This record gives sequence, C-alpha cells and structure tokens, in this order.
Amino acid sequence: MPGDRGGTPQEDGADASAQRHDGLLAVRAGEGDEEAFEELMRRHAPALLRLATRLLGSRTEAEDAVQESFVSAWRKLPEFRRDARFSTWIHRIVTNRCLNVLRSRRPSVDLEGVPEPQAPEHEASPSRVAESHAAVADLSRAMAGLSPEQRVCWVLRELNGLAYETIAESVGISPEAVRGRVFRARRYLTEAMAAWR
Amino acid sequence: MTEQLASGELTEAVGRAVLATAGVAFLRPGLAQLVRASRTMARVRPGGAASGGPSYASGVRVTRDAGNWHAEVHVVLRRGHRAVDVTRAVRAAVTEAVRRAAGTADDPRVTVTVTGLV
Amino acid sequence: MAVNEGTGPGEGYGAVGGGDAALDRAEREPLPCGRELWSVWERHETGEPDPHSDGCPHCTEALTSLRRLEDVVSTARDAEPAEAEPDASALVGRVMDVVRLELRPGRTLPLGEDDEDAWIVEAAAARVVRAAAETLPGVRAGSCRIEGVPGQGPGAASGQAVPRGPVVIRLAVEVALTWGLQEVADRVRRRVLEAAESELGMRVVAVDVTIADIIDEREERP
Repeated sequence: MPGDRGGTPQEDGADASAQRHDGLLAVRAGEGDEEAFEELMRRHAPALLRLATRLLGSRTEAEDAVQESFVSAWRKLPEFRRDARFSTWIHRIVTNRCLNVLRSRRPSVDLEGVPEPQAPEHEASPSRVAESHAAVADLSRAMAGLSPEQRVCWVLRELNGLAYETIAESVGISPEAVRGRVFRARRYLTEAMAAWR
Repeated sequence: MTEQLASGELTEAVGRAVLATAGVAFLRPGLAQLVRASRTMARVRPGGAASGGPSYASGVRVTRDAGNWHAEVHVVLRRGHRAVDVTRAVRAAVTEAVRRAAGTADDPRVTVTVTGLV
Repeated sequence: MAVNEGTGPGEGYGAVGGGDAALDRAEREPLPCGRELWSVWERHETGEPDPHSDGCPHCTEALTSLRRLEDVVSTARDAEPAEAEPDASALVGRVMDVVRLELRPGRTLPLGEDDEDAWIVEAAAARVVRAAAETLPGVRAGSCRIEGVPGQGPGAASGQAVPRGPVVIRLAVEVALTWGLQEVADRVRRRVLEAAESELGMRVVAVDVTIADIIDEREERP
C-alpha cells in the first residue's frame, strides 16, 4: 500500500498524509471494519497512553482510561463526522475520561500518599539521575494539589507543549479560560515548590 | 403464535453440527457473553481471555411453531472458503441434526447468517 | 506574593464544557511595582522584551520563580523519554477482544439464490469488497456500502435485512496519481465482482466506484 505507514503520527512532515489516512480508517471503522479500527489504535495508542499517564500520574490507571476511551470510540464511530479529525476527537475523549478519573479521585487526595513516578531508566550519570528523579518527584507531589481542570490544562501546555487554542479545542472551553487555568496552575506550583525547598 | 424454544439438547446438537462444518470458525457469541465481556473488560489483562471457547448455545436458536422447526444460526466463517458454499453446508448439517434429534422426517426451516469472516 | 487561595483544591469549576470566567484583576495579581504577575509571565512566555521587568526587583523575583518551575518541568520531561513510545500492543489486544464480540447493528444482505435463507452482515461483505479493491497496487478502499435494489426480490425476511435479490455496491477508493481514473475504476469494479462471486456468492447488479482522492505521495504502477 502506498502512503505513510512508516511515520509516527506526531511527525509534522507526515502530518497531512497521516491525517488523511486516519480519515479513511475512521470511515471504515465507522462502517464496522475492525481491522481499520485496530490500525487506528496502533497509530494513536502510544501517544494517548503517554498523555493519560501524564494526566493521571499512574500508568495502570492510564491504561484503563485509554482502553475505555477506545471502546467508547468504537461505539461512537458510526456517528463520527467525516470532516472531523480523528486525532483531535480521540484526544478529547481520552482527556475527558482522565478528567473524570481525576475528579472522582479528588476527595481522597492525600499529598503524601501520591505515588511517586517510577525512576526513569535513563543512561545518564547517577547524580543526574538522582537529581532529576528528585525534581520529578517534587513536581508530581506539587501537581497533586492542582484542581483536575488546572492539572489537565497545565499538563497539555507544559508537558505536551500544545498551543492554548489546541487545548481549548480538546477540553471544550475558551482559550482565555485555558490561559487562566494554566496561570493559576503555574502560580500554585511555583509556590508549592518554593515552600518545600 | 405459540413459539416454543427447543430443548438444550437439540440446540446443542445443532451447534455441534454447525461447528463441524468446514469453513465455520465459530458461532456468534451470545448476548450473555457480550455482557460478561464488557463488564470484565477493564480488569481482564491477558489477551483473549474474554473471547473464550466456542459455546454451542451462543449463536444458535431453535424454535418450534405449530409443529414446524426453525433453526437460526449465526456464524463467523474462515476466509478462503466461499461463504455461500459454507452456508449451504451448514444448512444441510443443521437439517440433518434437527431431523435426527427431533425424530422427524420433515425439513426444518434453517436461517443462516454470516456475522463475520476471520 | 499572595497566598494561593482559590488556586487549588477549593476551586469550584463547573463541567469541562462550562465557561469559567477569565481572571479578574485580583487574580492577575498586581505586584508592588504596579505590574501584574499575569502579564509579566505572559510576556515571558511570548518572548516579548520588557525593559521594565529587567530592572525591577519584583518582576525579577516573579520571573525567577517561573524559571525555576520551567527548569524542573524540563528536567521532568527529560527524565521521561526513556519510554518515548509506550508499548500499547497489549492494550490494543484487549480492546479488540471487546470490539470483536460486539454486535454492530447493520444491514443483513442476501447470500445465494432468492429461495435460500442465507445472509451476511454488511460489514463482513464490505471487508471482502475492500480487500478485493486493494489487491490493485496504489488503491486504498474507504467507505463501502452495500444495499438492496428497491422493488427487487421477495420481501425481507427480518427487520434489518435487505430484500432478497441482487445488491448494489458503492465503494469509495483513493488511488495513486499514476492511475488513469477510468481505467482504475473499471479494474476495481472487475475485481470486486470477481470477489463477490468467488469469495461470497453474493449476487451483485452494480458496483459504483467513486474516486474519493488521489494519492500523489509515491510513484506506484502496476
């Protein structure tokens, strides 16, 4: 088959063609083509898993969230509009699913009880690993104090590097509201981390 | 109007006959399996655990109305076999199975639906 | 600096879709020098030069704390790429287990002759049709709808079923630039008719082929 199978969906160069191939696969999946859906998942699952892991701070919960998002996407695909971007659509589903998980988790949040992220397996000097591990641990502890809405906007902005407009589209609020949330999150994090150092 | 569901034995006999037909991969999963699968899905880790083995009852429904038997069969076929040839073989096998199990010489009505190809 | 009231757990937002108001003046947080924390950070983010803040101790402090956060964030990000592409194959497999078990409501099409009681769901037949089209190099199949011909054949056996009789196939394809459009449409039609006969045994009166797009990224020629 001709096309763009080699490129990852994230690559800007292959973006237009990847998007078009996504569109074709989404139409087929909407008509009940299971293999097309499987390929869509293979193309998007790694990035979505990374996103959900960042949003939830837990790989296990992220797997569940992404898995449930795909099942609901399969059920909703027959109504998927051809002109919409599959990638935007599935990102929105996963983001909202994670937001709901964060919300349901809220009342029991215990800052000390937040699991630390696994030590990154990185080929770097031991001191650098220790230093970065400590920073990551501090940050993830501080992030637990953000509201679910702030956390989602902040992660999409700072860890995923998305534009405010893109986040707005993904979360379903105005870009101004996203800016407000990211600002509040930054202010909270700077203060929380200053207090611990 | 007075449609009766056939006994488990008859339904099983039909299911076995269908599964023994060349080109049939499996019977369509029944609703009970679907519900169970979607309920446990989130926690089922090992791949394939939810799909389970063939269940005779799942894709077969046999009823009797005013003395006439009607078998409805839902099957997933293997690719590489011509679908209509397999449905004809399924029909023959089911007809034979109903006759033998119900002890009748009459031809039952047999509806075969292909729900997938693997 | 102001305390962080209203920024953390106590903050009451509505649903994701609900509008939350933009920041009011207090939240933009005026600094003792008259600037707002909000705009100082905003300028830093957009990279706009700001001569005032370079010499202002309040603005400098505000920027230092933001930079410290940025450093930690970039360290955290650097620490992450050990798993740049998380392995999602197990997850995909689990979802497919569910997908394969689910029944999609859809049309049921007649298989074989008019007096037979054999049927095939549209998605399964469409799969054979698409695969047949894609045996041609530089052809990708998209939407495939298969319908009965109105007014033909004896009545439908059940609710979702198309009346018995031959069907019409409507297939959209994307083709490589190198194909002549008429030629490729004819060849797709022929392959589809062959497959409908040899793999399914489904009677087809017409195959409508629509060229939905031209793929121009690679030279590909039979």
